[in-house]
Amino acid sequence: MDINFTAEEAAFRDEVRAFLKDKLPADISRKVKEHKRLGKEDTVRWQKILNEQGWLALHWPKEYGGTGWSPIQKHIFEEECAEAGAPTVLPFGVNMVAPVIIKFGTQEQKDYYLPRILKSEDWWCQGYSEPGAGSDLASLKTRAVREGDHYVVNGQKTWTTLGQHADMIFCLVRTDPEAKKQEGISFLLIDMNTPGITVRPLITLDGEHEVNEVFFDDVKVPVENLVGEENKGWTCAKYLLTFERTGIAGVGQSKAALAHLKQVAAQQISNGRPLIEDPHFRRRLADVEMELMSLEMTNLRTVAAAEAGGVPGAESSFLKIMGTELRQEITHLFRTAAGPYALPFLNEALHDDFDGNYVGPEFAASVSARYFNFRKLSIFGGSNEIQKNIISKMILGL
Amino acid sequence: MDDSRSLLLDTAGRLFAELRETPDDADAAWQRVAELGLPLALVDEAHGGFDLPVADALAVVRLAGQYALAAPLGEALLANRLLAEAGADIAEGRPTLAVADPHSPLTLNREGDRWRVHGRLPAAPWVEHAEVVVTIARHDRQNRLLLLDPDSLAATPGTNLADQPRTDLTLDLDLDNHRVRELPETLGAEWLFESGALLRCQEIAGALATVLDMTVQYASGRVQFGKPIARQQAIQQQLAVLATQAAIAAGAADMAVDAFHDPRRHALIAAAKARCGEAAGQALAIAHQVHGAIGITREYRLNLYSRRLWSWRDEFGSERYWQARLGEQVLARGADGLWPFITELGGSTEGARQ
Repeated sequence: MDINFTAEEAAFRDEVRAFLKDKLPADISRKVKEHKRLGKEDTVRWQKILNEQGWLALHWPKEYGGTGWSPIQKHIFEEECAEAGAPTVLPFGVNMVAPVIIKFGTQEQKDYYLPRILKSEDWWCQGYSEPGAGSDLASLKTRAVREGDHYVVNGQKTWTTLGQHADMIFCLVRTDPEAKKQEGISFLLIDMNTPGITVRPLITLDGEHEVNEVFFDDVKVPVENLVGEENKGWTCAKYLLTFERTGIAGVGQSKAALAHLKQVAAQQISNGRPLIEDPHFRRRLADVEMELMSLEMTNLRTVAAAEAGGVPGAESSFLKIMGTELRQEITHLFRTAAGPYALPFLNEALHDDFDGNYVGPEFAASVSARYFNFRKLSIFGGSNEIQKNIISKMILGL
Repeated sequence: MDDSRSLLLDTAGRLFAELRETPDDADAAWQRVAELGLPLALVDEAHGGFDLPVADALAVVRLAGQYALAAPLGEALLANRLLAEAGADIAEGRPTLAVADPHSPLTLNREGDRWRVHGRLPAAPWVEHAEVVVTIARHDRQNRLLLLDPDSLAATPGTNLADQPRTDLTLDLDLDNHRVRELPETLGAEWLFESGALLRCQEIAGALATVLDMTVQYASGRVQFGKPIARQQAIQQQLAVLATQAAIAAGAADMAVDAFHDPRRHALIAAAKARCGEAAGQALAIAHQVHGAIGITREYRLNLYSRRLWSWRDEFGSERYWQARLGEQVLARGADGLWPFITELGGSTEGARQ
């Protein structure tokens, strides 16, 4: 396999770069680069720009409005977006539920939902985890009972990211409590405005409102909102997870963060000289850079294999582990770089309209919040321990 | 442990356990803690205190960390001790302490028949709630305790990551003579900074004991794939590392406590604070990983300990700071001095028992 970029790929990179330079709104990229909190409006605005360009649906087939890009092109695109400070596309609609609808949905579902997703008309959220069903997702208990032309849903979902903005939620629900646990699950699309749905915020360590609990109390869902067959939802769930793990290595984000860290370390004075000249800090920085470089190569090898027709399988597990551990380590180094200025916690300073005084350098205001927030990386999308189980089974054959 | 110490810890432990139910009410906690006389533990009897052995008084501080006590007991213990050492009245209300960045100490000068003090005291704990803020400055080769009136100070209030009050104080003011008192030669600004670090070591050790308990309990109760996750070897291994870090922090903090009166405290407290900070970071990463998503919510109690531990790691000198101080001491001994330096630190430290 060849992991060098071809001339066409280099030209593609230039095209992406030019587009980002031209179309990415400066106010949005500034927020991203300064780690300010993004609002719903920022994400939607950017998604609409991407859609106008035809570059929103990276993973969809071309006939549905996807890019039809190769894995290498997607990789280049994601890397350039991270470097330019583009916001992350809300994955739940375009990258998660849409591929499931394309693969398992009816014609009506495709015709209705896919254009709305492209135009960012619906904000989607994910109804997978429950209080008793995290890593062991198949033990979920939210119940859907068929009554005439409706399902009646009762139960609770949790860790629902950005569910407070959502118009739609895709849910795994139990339709056959008697069957073996993977076999009694169905995949339902539920309008968040349906009576009986309550969204309650879960405030996280960093003071952020990012996740929610969603309660269902006799929620009536039309049967035409079932995707695929009843009791075959687990197939949809697994199919979706393979998309959840694309781009999970976060190489682009880590590269951008590392570049920022170096910049900051060159400006911070520690024991009378720039922090970046401190041998201990340099060593840790170099460790991260080496790890990141090898992650990037591993990622490219995986991408190249996918390009050659291989299906990324268990490899995505080590990309997830390495990628998330690195992103966490970089936030740790940011805290180190900020020194005592990582300590004062100004929640307001994470908002774009903050006009108060920073206690230390401006970059320091967000480092602790990000350190806290990024604890989630090694937990979500299948915890890193689960990924290790996958590696032990699928790669090591244990 | 002798009887009086276990009696003290039982009593304090019962109170802290009761106060745990209202983790945000610092004033109520303070009142109860004060009623028990705990803030006077390190003050000699002549000044109305209890003159407890340092190890006993600081054991209570560890307990406060363990129960996440809302009130600044450690700060008050030290502040009262300094007030007594300087022959000043013990504070009736809450006393607290503040320290300058060791790289930019306060300047204290005589102007006419008064004193003039200048400098910054960043992130001073609990200033708005205090009757008096004490800090140490040096003038003419003499350590002096400054008794600052919180209402007269230019202050920027704020909080640390754990929402505990921390105020940046900018000093540029005149002080009457009764507010500037002589201290013994051993009790300088460096002593105060080290002692603050020692408090944080104790609190870290206490909090990590709780974090370990919570995490083991959670892993034993959380069932996934039909069995408690604690039955997974990957989780057991992480719990073992967490327990190791908690034990290391406890050991390092013990060492620092024993060094309270010891001239080797410069090295021992430096090593302890650096190591406790490291332990906090490693232990918390595991605690959160094992707890999964529940651990990162504000509703779940782990967050209280996490945010405090993350704050205490950086207060009174981060790992980097203390590692550098320790490194300087090693280098000062020269190439042949490393081994003797280490072995000399290992001897018995009787200081804390005095």
